[in-house]
Amino acid sequence: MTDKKNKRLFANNPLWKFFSSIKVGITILSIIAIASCIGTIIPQDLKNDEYLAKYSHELYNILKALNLTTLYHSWWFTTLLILLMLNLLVSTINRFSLKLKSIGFLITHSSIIIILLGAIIGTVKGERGFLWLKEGEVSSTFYIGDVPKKLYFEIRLKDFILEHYNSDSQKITVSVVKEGKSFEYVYPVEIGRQYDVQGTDYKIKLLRYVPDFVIDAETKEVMTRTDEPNNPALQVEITNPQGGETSNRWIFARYPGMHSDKETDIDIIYHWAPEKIKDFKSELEILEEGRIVQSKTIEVNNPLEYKGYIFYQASYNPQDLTVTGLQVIKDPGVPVVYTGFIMLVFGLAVIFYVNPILRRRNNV
Amino acid sequence: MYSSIFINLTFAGYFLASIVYSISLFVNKRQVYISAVTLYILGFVFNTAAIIGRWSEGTRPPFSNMYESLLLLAWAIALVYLGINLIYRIRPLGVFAAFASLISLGYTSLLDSSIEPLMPALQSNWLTIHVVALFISYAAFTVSYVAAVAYLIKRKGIDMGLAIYSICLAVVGPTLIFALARGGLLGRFTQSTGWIILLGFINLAISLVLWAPLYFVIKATKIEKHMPEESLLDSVVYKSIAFGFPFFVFGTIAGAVWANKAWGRYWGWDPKETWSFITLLVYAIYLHLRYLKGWKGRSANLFSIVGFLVVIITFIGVNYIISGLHSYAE
Repeated sequence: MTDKKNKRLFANNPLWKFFSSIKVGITILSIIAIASCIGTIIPQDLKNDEYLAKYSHELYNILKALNLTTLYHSWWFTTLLILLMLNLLVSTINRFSLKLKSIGFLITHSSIIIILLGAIIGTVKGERGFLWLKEGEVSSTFYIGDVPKKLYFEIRLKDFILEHYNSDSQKITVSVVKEGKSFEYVYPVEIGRQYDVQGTDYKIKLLRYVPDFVIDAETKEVMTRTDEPNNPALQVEITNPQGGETSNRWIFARYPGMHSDKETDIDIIYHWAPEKIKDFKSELEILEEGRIVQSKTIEVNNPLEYKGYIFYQASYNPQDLTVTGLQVIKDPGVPVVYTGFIMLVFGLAVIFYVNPILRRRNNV
Repeated sequence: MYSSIFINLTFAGYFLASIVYSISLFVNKRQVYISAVTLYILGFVFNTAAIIGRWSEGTRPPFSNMYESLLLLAWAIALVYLGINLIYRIRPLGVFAAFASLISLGYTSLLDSSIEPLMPALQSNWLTIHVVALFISYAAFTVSYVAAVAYLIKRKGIDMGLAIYSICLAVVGPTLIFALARGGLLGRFTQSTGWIILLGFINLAISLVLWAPLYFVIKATKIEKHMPEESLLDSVVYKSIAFGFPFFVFGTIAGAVWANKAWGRYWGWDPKETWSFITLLVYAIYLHLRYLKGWKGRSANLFSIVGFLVVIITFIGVNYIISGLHSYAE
């Protein structure tokens, strides 16, 4: 029984005793939990000026000194994770036994050590960079931050494809109350078109669209600040059934209650939705010595892997749809981590679903 | 269109079940109890139909935003409670479970119900695996919470007070967040340390105001007399956490594997990831103390209640208050 020998060998070592204690284990777990919580209240990994917009200079210096702005990568958080690993290691060895009822415990606790090991391998040996590629362009360099890094092969973008969902992105809802009855209609937005609101005598006409509504402070004229749809607005002309007089109002997609003209019994709501992206894809080719050795159309959730490097569809340039943004990652720790994941799920299932059944059978 | 009819029927089912369950606590008759369970099961069947209907109308799994999540949570709570009830016969807890389903479904009325198409990162089979596993665990944690609350109510006095305060916190917090989000007032709270802490205090204060009347109503009904044995409740708290925990870990790992496939990293300390990690640690601490030290009773159940409040922060709080990769769930 080697485990008993082990126990005798180490049992009196105070450091060993310390790490095998459940109290110490629980304390480490609690400290990690509290630290993690702090890291979600203080935004992480922002730029200097972004922090200074949120916090005073003094406070920011304190946060920085305590590594609270890069908490999860700080030396003290890493130390906590290593302490947890030691605690797991010692207690797993201490309780080591090949009895059936210990198998779940063994697999679960060693799986966490394996996951942490895989994470360490990824941090030390991994590469994580980015590559912008234009259609037709061939490249063998990607960038880790600003530092260029050479690949052993070349990659070419054959084509970049952006797909949208087909939907009416702009429409208006007109509701009219007439003699206690309410009518509601939905129309597509067409500037210049006149709409007869059925069942009522109202006529409405869409006069003008501005993507980013603003009123000039001096001239009191309506204009658009930018071409981006930050505050889309429509100018509507309403022809009243009584007397045929017309009125004019602006309606805003982002502020539906803004005009609320109490005098009339007609209400118009402007629905504006940006076109939704369905998918973006890049047709990629891997070249070695000018020969195509692999080609694949990648999309989000479906990357390309070649010689340990994985190319993820990460981004694109809305201003230039011939350019694709690829995340380039090499992480030799992933197989280790996944082994740990499988063991963890399996081990927990044994502890919480299989063991109780075995125990019940033994009791009967 | 059918899914909205089914949602109304589900609502009616859970509502009536909650009422009849409440009556069954005081009128100790088998028929009353059976009609309560029947109504709850009926609500559950309609809830299933609503989810399937939404799935076929949207031609995609209906697990992508808060509205759809709450519809699924109401369903999962009913499923897990009815399942656990088959094993342990914890009838009087039905009233809490039915109310929990009802509240979860009730929140959907504060949210946008339109079926939006899926953004690229969500188009994956991992979506269903990730979400369904996590919601089974959320429901199991809800049942454990319900049992812990019943346990503390049974002890009366200050414990009853704490249990009722935890109910107020669990209901007021999400309501506040949904209401602020609906009014478009949540913007300044996002990612601002001071505002996040202030929101926490607002929740504590409003809950305290609501606490007093609720405490005296519940105290006057002498509900504790109708609750199961303390030892049974204690065992339900432990067993539902033990049942839910592997699902929670599996669902989180499924999310990690999915993230690695979509973004090339299995863990990135995104707020949602971090809070699920915290949830995992809290329940891991509970399970270790229970298993190794035989931790039971008052303090263990108070701790499990804290665990459930952490679940609520993970599930709802993070999406709205702290922006991150899961913010599309709004």
